[in-house]
Amino acid sequence: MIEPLLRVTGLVAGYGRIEALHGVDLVVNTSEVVCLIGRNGAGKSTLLKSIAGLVRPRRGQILLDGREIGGWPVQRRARAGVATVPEGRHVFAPLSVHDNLLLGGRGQPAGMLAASLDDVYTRFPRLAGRRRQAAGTLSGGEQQMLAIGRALMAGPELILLDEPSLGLAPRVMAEVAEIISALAGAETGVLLVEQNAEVAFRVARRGYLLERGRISASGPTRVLRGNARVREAYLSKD
Amino acid sequence: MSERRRGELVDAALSYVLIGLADGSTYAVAGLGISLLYQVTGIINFAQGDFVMLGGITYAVTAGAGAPKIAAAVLALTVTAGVGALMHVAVLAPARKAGPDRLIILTIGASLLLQGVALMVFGAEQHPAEPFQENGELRLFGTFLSSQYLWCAGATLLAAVAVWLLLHRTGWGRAMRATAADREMARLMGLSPLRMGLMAMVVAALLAGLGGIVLAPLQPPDPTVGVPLGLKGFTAAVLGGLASPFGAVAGGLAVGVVEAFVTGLVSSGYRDSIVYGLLVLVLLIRPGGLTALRKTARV
Repeated sequence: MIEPLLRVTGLVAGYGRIEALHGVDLVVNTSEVVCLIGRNGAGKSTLLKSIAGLVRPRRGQILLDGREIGGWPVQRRARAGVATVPEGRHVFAPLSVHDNLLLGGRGQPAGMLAASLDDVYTRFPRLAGRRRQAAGTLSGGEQQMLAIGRALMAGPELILLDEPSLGLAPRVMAEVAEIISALAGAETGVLLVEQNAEVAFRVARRGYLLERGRISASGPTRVLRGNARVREAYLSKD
Repeated sequence: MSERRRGELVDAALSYVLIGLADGSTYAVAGLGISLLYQVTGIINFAQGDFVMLGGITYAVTAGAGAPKIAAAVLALTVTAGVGALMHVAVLAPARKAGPDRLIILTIGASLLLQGVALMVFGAEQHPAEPFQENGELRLFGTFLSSQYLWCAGATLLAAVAVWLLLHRTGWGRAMRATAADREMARLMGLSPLRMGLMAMVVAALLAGLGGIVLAPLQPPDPTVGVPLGLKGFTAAVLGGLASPFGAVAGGLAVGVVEAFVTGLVSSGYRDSIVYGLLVLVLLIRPGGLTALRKTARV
């Protein structure tokens, strides 16, 4: 059997004495966008942080390309191809757009770096026009594009997106959604964490519902859309 | 007031400014290192002045023993950089979870330790060093100044430009600024805040060493000169907003000029109280520094 890009099994994690995840199983394959929906406090961010390495799992496995990475420090996971676009974007505000992107592609040979920059500026023409501007002065939507572009600069295998639609106007949200659905490529998989199930289902083909630290439903998003529980709690009724 | 009297006053004022700028350039170098380390790690290093002392004494003792000036300078820079690295690896890094305020206390401890070690190794006496140039005296606006002050000013300017270039024109500098702006994000991108801190510390120590070397011929260093230098460097860095190398330099020059006027017009006894009073005033009124006109938006 071919190992998936990311396989999480029986993951238990939390902060201090509080356990936020009570045994989570999840799979992300290359070239797919997988969404994880759930309420505030369901454990979505804890799951992402456990995969990125900011939270150490207490039990369970995190396999990237079949390699156990659960014990690795953050930096090693980043170098192994895990890129995070955190909630609130976290662009480096005082640095220019261009410097933010260069940091994303740090350590690459010059030729590859130029190609990655070209790719990102082609994908996000609005960033190209503002490359000398301080990242903190960009609009929310542009900062989201920059955070995604910065993650792409590293040529990642797995992109972790935490609440990208948060705080964006509906029109901008649609634009960002389109960008996300185009992220998964031949060698890249995307795990999208969203409170907004409408947005998540628009861009992902498969999804998980996380409730109080456990996966309570999973499957293709068109099936999840019909799930009574999901309809009740996460989708508007109209 | 007669024309002549007015002319004398102008001359006196100009000479205060000149002496102030000359002394201030030494505070500027100390402030430069403090502001650099603060930017990258959030730590105020109160041992920065002791690095200046260490660089100065090492230079003075080595040159005094007959070594070529260049060799003495290289040795002094090596020693301060090494001690800076050691302080980061052995003191700050193991305690990094303690948070910046407790790390600041650790730097005060390191300052005391460095003084003690210097006292044991070099003794309590002053170590004079020859000026870089023989019989170098300049006469400006009726004031005689040692040409060594020009070396001081040149070294300060060079150091400020070098720090700016390092931060804004190199990949390492970009990584340091990113770490300063958002540590957790920097880690998520594979940067090591610890390594960035070590680099900043070594650069700050090198700056201090440079300051100590150019200062040694002007003020023969002994193990106790570090503390006031560090405090004035801190004042300089705070005046400059703790955010840019040029701010720290401007702050250092301002401290020097204020000192010179107080010494000349009031009394040298009030010099330190007025300078530190200024520091308290700035911390109370403009914690962002005099030059911080606006805050960068954080989203």
